[in-house]
Amino acid sequence: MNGMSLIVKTVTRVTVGVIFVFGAYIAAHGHLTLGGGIAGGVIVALAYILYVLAYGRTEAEERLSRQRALAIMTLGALLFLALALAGYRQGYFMGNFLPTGEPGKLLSAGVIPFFNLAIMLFLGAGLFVVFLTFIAFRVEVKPEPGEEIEVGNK
Amino acid sequence: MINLLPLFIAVPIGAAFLLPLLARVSRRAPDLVANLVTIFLLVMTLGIYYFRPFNTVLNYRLGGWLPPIGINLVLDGLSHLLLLVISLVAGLVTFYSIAYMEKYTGKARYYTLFLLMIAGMNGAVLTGDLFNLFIFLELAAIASCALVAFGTGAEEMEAAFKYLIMGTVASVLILFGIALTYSLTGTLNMAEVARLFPANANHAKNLIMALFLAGFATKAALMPFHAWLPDAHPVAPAPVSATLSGVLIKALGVYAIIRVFYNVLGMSPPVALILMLLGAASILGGSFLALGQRDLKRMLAYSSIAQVGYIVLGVSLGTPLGIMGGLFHLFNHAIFKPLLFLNAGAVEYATGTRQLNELGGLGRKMPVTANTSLIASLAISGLPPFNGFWSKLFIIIACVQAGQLWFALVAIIGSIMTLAYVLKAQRDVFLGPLPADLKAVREAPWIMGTTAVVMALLCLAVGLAFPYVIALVINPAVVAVANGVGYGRMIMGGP
Amino acid sequence: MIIYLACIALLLIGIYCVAVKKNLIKIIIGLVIMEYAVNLFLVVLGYRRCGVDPIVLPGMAAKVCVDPMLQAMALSVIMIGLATTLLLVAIAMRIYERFGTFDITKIRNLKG
Repeated sequence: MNGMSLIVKTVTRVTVGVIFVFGAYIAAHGHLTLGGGIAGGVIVALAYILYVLAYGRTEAEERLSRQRALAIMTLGALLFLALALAGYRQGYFMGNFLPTGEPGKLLSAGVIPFFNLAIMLFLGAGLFVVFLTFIAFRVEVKPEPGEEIEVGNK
Repeated sequence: MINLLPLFIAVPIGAAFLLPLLARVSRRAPDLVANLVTIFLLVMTLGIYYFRPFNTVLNYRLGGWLPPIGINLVLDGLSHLLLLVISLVAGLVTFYSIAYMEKYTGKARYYTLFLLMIAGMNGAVLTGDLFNLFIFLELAAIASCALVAFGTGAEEMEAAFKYLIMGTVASVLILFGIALTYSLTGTLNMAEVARLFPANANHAKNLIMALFLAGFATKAALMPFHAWLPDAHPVAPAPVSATLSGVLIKALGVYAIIRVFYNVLGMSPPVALILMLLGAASILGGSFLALGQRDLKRMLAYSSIAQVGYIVLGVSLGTPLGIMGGLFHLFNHAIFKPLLFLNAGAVEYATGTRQLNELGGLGRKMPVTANTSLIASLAISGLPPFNGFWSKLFIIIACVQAGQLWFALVAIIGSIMTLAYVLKAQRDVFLGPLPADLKAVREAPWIMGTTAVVMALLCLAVGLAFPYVIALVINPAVVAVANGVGYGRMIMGGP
Repeated sequence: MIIYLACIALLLIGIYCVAVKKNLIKIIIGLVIMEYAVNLFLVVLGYRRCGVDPIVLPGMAAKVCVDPMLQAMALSVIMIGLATTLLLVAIAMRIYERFGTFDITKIRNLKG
């Protein structure tokens, strides 16, 4: 609950922002190079998880509380659905209705960068919420004096 | 009209994500929104019957991309039959769970998971792409496993673990089959695979068929692969049990077997014989094991295994009468099995127990539940004038016509055993003396009673008006299945 | 050819773990190994001799690429495997809370 030592906290404070920006970079350039929204979302979630591991759950929840992470996750999913439904303007369900620019530029390929953004929001916040749910679960097993705790063999 | 096909998948998913937000606004909002969504799906399904010209196939390309690159949604007769079954059961069960799920906490989360499961099933029956089928299979399987574990008691957790492990092993085998199919044909689209499958790749085709058979038979709970079903269906909340037994094992398992083995890979006599043997083993094994059960819902779960055996036996006969009998039994089973599970849920809601030796004499206290349960019991055993009689008769006649007399005998024995165990359950629960600790039992709430009465009336109506039901709903599905590998030519055009 | 045998070996190791081991966590790990096997199989199917990664920038000549469709499939399967593993671990944690053990020979409430 108190996090790790001072060295770990200092190094984390430096690197967690870099990891977050790296994840956003991979998500934003999904239509140009490898990666895309899925890989970018996982890396953004890892930035938050690193913060929880180094500083402890209470302080990490002050940065991004569980309720707000759930709201961002829902926002990502509904943004994806809204983009897919907006494709009806072009005629088809997930149709491309934004102009496709020249290949190689950041703002090109129509609606794909926005799909990547929606997936990044969904996965980044969603995996963080799942991690918080797992570590909030504590099972107290009090052994009798002299008895060993059995967790199964083989 | 064709542009509305993706809404079958998009609307439940959108509503599933909106429901937890709405639950913070008001307490009754999730009930209302979930029921509106399922009523909307049912209206759209029936509307497509009204607007679509008879025996045409709707083919919708997502995003406008042409099929070897893009994914297409295909609505032919078989998909439409499954869509009608899913929408009907989902609509009735969502109405039922307004009253039943008051006993659990977190009702908004229940509706979220339920709508995700409905979206997964809709996507699985609508899609025309093999890998997309796998994705929706997994969505429905994970959502249904979370629903089985919804009560978070000890039994629910054990059952959910077994279900998820077996389901995931099956999915891994299916994925191996899909990867091998892609390496042979270079495409994932079902119609393209039907057209382009190399005719001389017999060893690879046998391996692919074996992998698909193992995977989809586990999802459909056929006999040697059935071990997850008798644990998972009793412990789930009653509306979830009804959907799992009534629709999920059929939309994910039986529909996938029919689609892949008839339309994509092509049925051949050895494969048909293997499917018939699996069906016959399910009939005998499920009925025998159901006779000795002391838990009401566990007995109904074994009965589901037997009835899915009937469906697979009928469909794998290969003759048009057999396919029609099998698909009609699929439709009928989706009406009377959820009714049996919902009534078992009403009994559990009122008394708190599912064990047959602790129940008794509830017929006087719960008349609506008792009478609708009697109608469902007679329908499932195949007594006239209910719907089960006609579908079982068609399957038995088709077996005799195809020369498979041993399978007809198995079907008749299964029918007799079905009558035995459902009447035993009816006597143990509703007739006889009332135990002392059940004297304060009252009838289930009106919402649950109304749902049961509607389903019982459907049993009777389909049984009386079966020529119209078969001509309108089942025959397009038979045409789609009997078309075989011509499915590829029909969707893609060409030689 | 060797790499396909490695996929089959991984699949068999996974099936052995799911079928034989008695600890819940080891069963989950066996399932994860099976998913690794199928992901490896998917990606290796797409290999073309002298193939490069399927990215074309303006000004580049088109060369022989490895199959990108299989990589997209493998990515989707990895995400599904992640969701399945998360749910399995959550169920395993609850089982430990209710039964007090991870040993599957002691978790046998549902019988018959």
